[in-house]
Amino acid sequence: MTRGRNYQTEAIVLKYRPIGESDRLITFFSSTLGRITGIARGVRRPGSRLGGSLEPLNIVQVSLARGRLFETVSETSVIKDFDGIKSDLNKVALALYVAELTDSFADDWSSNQKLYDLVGRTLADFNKNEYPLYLIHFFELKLLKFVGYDPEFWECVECREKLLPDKYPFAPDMGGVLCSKCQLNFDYFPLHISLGAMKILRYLQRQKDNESISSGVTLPQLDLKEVSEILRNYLRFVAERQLKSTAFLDLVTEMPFGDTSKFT
Amino acid sequence: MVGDSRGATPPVQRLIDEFNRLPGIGPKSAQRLTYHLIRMPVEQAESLASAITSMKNQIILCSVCFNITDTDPCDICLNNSRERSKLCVVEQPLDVVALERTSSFDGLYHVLHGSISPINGIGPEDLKIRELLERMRTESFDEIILAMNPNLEGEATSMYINRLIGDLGARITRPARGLPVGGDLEYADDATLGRALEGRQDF
Repeated sequence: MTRGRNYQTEAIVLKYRPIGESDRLITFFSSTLGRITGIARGVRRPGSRLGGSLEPLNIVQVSLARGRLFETVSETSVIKDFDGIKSDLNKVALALYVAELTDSFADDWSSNQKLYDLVGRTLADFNKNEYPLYLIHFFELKLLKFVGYDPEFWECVECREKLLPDKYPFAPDMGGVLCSKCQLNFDYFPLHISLGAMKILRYLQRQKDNESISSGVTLPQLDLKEVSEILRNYLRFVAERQLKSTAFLDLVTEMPFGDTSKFT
Repeated sequence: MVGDSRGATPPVQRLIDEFNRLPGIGPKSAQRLTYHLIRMPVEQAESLASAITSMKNQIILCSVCFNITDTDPCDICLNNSRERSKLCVVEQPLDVVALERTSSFDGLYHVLHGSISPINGIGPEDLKIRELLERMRTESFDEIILAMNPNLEGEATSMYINRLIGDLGARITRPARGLPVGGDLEYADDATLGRALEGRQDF
């Protein structure tokens, strides 16, 4: 979509950082324009009209003016502020991980409506009281699919032979699993997917792209941990960097209330 | 090199560049300040220079509350007329200055030096949270006020600390959210207005 001198779009606020005296550089993910970076002037002063609406994870209607280096944010109104997420530490950590992944994989000035819908739907699901534990892995898999890095769990990436559910080595650089014959041609595989984890990965991958995942299924905790490790590893390979928000995510999700042991 | 100051000699240009690094000072202001200093008597300029270096040399972080100070412990921590059972946790030393200006609080402070920002890779271990827990063990507080900035990162920091110290017995509070004095109701954002209504008080 081309943009005029002044234009409006619906967008998710992914992150911001302070710039200058009282301005912020804000990264949006727009439904029609992809990732956009805009300067919001004066937002750090109390009483700024833009202030509260440009918090990360908000979905906003934003008016932007075309700029040379960055766009200028002229007006915003909040469409959804997901206060159910913001009042729960675990959900904040999960949602910020979602935002960081989106920021890493979305392209500037290139619309990705499927990814936009996925991010909006995932945040809405986290905003509810109850959400399935595997929701984040569903998000990771669908994000990979929508940005063109869908991992292969059904057939060998080398010989294309269909694989029965079993334990297989996973090669992030090849984008999927290898069969027992082909793996002999390679000497080193740091990752192996167990049968349990493989079933979960296939189950999540098979779910419809454009619907929230149902929360009625219980999946074994141990296998989910493995799924998490495999996907993190693959995401790190594709993103070509260590994701920053995972450390905090692991810290809070593994910390029971009132546990001070991490600090003693 | 900044600004349109090609005619400036190197010592002058160096000062312009130094000024330009300061917050809120652009190339033009940097030039103006520099040329003002050129006209200034040398004693005044030296006094300014020594004020900067002695400030940098003399200030330290208070070993108790981590506020900026020139004595250790700082004046606030040593002051026995302050209420020692109340502790206000803030992000930055400037927040202490702002709260002191209100003269509505006479307890003690704890400065975290930042807020948790997962996207920027800043976690609890980068802040003075461990030190806060240590203080909770050695001193006794009735009330802990979590006065972090009312944004996502500040809230996350508050929730995290609340999770750590929620069971340690002290009452945990935070400042009310509401309408700014002298503001317009119609320009308040939904989140602020909603919180202001929730926290309404008897007239």
